[in-house]
Amino acid sequence: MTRLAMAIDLASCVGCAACSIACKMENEVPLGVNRLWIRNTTVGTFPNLTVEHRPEQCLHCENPPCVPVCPTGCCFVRDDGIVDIDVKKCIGCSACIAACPYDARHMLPQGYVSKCDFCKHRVDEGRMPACVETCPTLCRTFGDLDDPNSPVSIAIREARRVDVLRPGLGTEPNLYYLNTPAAFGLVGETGGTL
Amino acid sequence: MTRDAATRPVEPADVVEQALQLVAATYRSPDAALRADLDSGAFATAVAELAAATGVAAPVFQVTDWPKLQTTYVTLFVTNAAGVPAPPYVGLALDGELLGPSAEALKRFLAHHGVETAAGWHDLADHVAAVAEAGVLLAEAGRDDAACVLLERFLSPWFQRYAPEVVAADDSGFYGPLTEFLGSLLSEVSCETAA
Amino acid sequence: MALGGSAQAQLFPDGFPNPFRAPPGKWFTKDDVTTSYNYCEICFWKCGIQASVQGGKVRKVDGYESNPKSRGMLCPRGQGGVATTYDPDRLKKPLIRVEGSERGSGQYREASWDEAYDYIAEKMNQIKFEHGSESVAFFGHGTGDAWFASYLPGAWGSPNAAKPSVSLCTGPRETASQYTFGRGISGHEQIDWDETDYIVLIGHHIGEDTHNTQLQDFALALKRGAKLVVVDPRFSVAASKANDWLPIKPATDTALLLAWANVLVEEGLYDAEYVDKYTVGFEQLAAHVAQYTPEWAAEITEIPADTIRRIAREMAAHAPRAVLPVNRHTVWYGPDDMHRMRSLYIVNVLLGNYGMPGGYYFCDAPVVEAYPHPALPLSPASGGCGGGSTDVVTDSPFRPAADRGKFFGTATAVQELIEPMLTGEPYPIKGLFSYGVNLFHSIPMVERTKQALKELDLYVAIDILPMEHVMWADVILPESTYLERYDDLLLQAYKTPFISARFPAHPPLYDTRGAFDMAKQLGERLGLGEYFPWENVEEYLDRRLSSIGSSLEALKDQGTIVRRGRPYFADWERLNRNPIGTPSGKIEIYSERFAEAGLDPLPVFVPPIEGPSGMYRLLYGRSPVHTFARTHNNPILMEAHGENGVWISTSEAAGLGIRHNEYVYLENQDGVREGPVRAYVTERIRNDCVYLVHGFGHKTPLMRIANGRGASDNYLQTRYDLDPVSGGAGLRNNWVKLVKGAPDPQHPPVAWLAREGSRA
Ligand code: SF4
Ligand code: SF4
Ligand code: SF4
Repeated sequence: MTRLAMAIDLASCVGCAACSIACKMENEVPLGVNRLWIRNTTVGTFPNLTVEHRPEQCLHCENPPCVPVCPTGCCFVRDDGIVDIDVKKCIGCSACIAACPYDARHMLPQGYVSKCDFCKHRVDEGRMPACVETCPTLCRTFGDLDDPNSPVSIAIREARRVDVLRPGLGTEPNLYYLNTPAAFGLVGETGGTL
Repeated sequence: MTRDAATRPVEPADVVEQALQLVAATYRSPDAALRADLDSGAFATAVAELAAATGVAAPVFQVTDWPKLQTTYVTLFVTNAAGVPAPPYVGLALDGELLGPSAEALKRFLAHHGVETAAGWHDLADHVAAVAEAGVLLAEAGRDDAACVLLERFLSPWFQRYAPEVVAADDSGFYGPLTEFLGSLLSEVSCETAA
Repeated sequence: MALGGSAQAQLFPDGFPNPFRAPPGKWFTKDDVTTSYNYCEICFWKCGIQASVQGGKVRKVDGYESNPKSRGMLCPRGQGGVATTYDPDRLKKPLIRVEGSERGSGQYREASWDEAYDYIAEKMNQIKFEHGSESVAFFGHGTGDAWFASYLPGAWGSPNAAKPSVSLCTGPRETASQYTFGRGISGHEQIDWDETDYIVLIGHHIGEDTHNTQLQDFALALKRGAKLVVVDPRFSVAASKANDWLPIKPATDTALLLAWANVLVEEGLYDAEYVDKYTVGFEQLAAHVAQYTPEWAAEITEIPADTIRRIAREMAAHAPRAVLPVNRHTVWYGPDDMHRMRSLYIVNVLLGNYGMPGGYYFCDAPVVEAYPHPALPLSPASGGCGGGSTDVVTDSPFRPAADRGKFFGTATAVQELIEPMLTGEPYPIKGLFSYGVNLFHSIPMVERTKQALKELDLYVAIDILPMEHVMWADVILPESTYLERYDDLLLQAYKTPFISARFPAHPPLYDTRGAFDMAKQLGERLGLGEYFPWENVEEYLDRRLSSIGSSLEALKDQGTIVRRGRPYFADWERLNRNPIGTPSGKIEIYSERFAEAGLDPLPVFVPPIEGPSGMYRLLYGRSPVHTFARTHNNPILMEAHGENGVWISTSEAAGLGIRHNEYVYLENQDGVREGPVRAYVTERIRNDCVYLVHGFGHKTPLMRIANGRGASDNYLQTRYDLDPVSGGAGLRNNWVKLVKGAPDPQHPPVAWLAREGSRA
């Protein structure tokens, strides 16, 4: 089996948005919407401060609430774990947008839904997703969780701390945040360790 | 502009070609040919004949100050410190971006009909003047149907979008009236092509 | 337009039922994708890229592995910078200002290139006849500045060629480096990140400054476990990665560095063997820094003496794999700037890291012969961020540059060439070329610049976009973008020096040319044809490449040629060569040359110039997604960061009753107002300063997206303090107050502006 996943090392991420812009160019994401965005937060008081730069995108949940709500079956999970959309079947009903607890989906002007697809066209050619390839801090890793030697498996194994967004929801995300700068975990989250 | 336009009456079948010719002449960078047509009265005659043939009210225009015309052209269509009011690209009117899907569709359409951009044309292929000129070529080659596609589907939207901007911003007494006239003219001309 | 064969074709192409929409599918699904090598020009780090073209348009750029600057990665600006080529606001044709219209009124007519060149050449000759060739000044920034700020002025005979990248940026560090090491700092700051274990950044904004390779190296060093100390009045992004943040009082960095030198010397922590072998002047330094105790520095810098001691000891414990990296923009506070950079180098030298693994490595540009041409009559000292600021004009038949005598260094200071336009002293400057230099967003005292432009007989602007200063020019020459043109080879000084080339991804969209062609055409019209003996750019590049056994064709498939470097002293010593270019052949801690010139031979601390009470010192820096003031009409980049905010501390804001995100005006010590600009109320900055990201606050409606967003630091820089050694303009001696009551400008979304809604 293949279980594709991504990890972002927040100890390295500087919030530069190269990933977000690379995604925009690669996938012709129109102005006004994003598949990938950055959340920057400061905690603490002068001079004891922590800043978290956190890129967010579709988490390719193991248990994705967006998929079962789709009335046409256009939202589906590929064998490799990529949560995908068959745009030809999409009727633009927005049910999946409402169902995603992470706001990862958006409507395109063409009338169908879109979101991060781990650059499946690249993955299918054996290349890295555009965000992973361009990241100038090399903080993004991608690969197969079932392969212990994949970059993402290694990064997760070696991390001091591993978090996912809102683990309490039971969505079982495949996007992992490593080494949060704040000792308590992700800012604005309950935290939670793998 | 061709000399013909000034000397023989416009027949209905020629309306499309003549209209395209006038669009091409009007929105090209003001050059010696335009100046000659204006000075000789050929331009005015062509306008009057088209107005008569279509029933669209003829514009009142006058060009007394040639340098002013050149400056206004730049101000309206090329570069202007206060913002170019009417970028002359049909794709921009249709897609809101340059070299977008409509510009690409236009390119394919022209290629299909064997029309190429000339080597000396240092601008985008969807410039209003270039599209009109392509239409003239197609009409001359007997492809009125293809010329009509250009007129209806590519040029008309540009006029719909930008004619009011040109009219509002023009201070030459030429581009405003001509654009208003050509805009109405294009919406009058019915090509009846299959889409 | 020309009509080809197929007059009998059916109306619509086969398999193309709807002629009004392009076939569906994203660019990468189409069969007409081609790629070409290039180097990025969105900033001047010049990363190697591969541009993917589909449907006549560049859809994506990627880095590539074999290029040492990108290594397959790109920064956000490189990724999104592509959109500028397809910006409808671009300059498209040569324009000549209407005779009799006022500069700045924006009245233009189209001209052919021939007419534009003739017009310029005639005016230049007129100026030469009346005032001498030196009376035409040349400012340049970008790859083409090699032609417009060095070669053409050299052929023409004007020493008044200048780059803002010197006296408004790297000047102090370059002068300090030349007089300490006898070498410049390279355009690629040569820090041996791969090997270092302890990093001390002083006002160095890695992470907000996204120079691609540097950011990669920095992140990898931290990942490897290198310790990081950041000295900054602001909790920068780099500070957020640091083990220690020292929120220093602005303008006191030299005191801190001298105190570190004091600790290293007094406690015997310096590398005695290294100092003995490679340097001169240690004894004088030891005596000199005895006065600069941590206690003394603590008073000045507001950093506790214990912390100063502790960091010095930690550095020493990691030496020589401990480094204080040189930063790029070093014109900060004026009189002190060159001394600060010398202090920084001296601390590095005490750690024994210069020319050693984990410190500073040596780098030289790869050698590719010049295209043979007659010697230029003059070699202008325009310098550049790649060093060379001590180019000396010898035996010149021309008058010296108009800024001579104002400071000690020899690299021309761009801001000092404005005054002669107004006063005619020491001689008039009557003509100006501005190649890619944003005159109103880089040179302080903008009003003075505008007045000066009005006095000129000829002002030529070469640019991509109708920036505000461009719309003042007599002749506007539109340049093709990096995706549309060839350029000279990039000969990069690096740990592994390399050569890369730029190939146009598609022909120019409009009637634009590259700097290479413009310089040659203009040169020929000026009667300087002998200096431009090449046929065209392809032939020029091919001939140069043949000198290293390569060719343009070969580079087309290769992109980059990588050479071996000599990064460390050991590499030079093996060849019995000395990389240190000072008169003594040693690193000159004590500078005899400065002493002879009556300058301080050892770095001194100059107390900061203080501002009016109730005002904040205006600091400025970078956005990760923008370059200078060049990228602010790019919808992709503006969507990522669309307006700057003025950073002010939470406690000061509370005192002023200013809320986070509230719009305010900024008013400086001379009453100049900028804004409305959002207040960014944060814990991340000291109470005595405020901070703006540079490059915002454009004032030209033609740039629909850039216009009116945020505030310009440069318009608020109505004074500067000259560094008497390097000629740098200290820009951080301007003060502002925040004025409440600014209206919300209600900026429309970038997406809406970009989709031309704003034209209505
Ligand atoms: S490109 Fe990398 S460093 Fe930059 S925001 Fe994205 S993940 Fe973070
Ligand atoms: S993040 Fe949202 S869109 Fe992505 S798989 Fe999970 S629920 Fe679906
Ligand atoms: S650092 Fe970024 S903007 Fe600068 S050259 Fe590299 S990719 Fe381009």
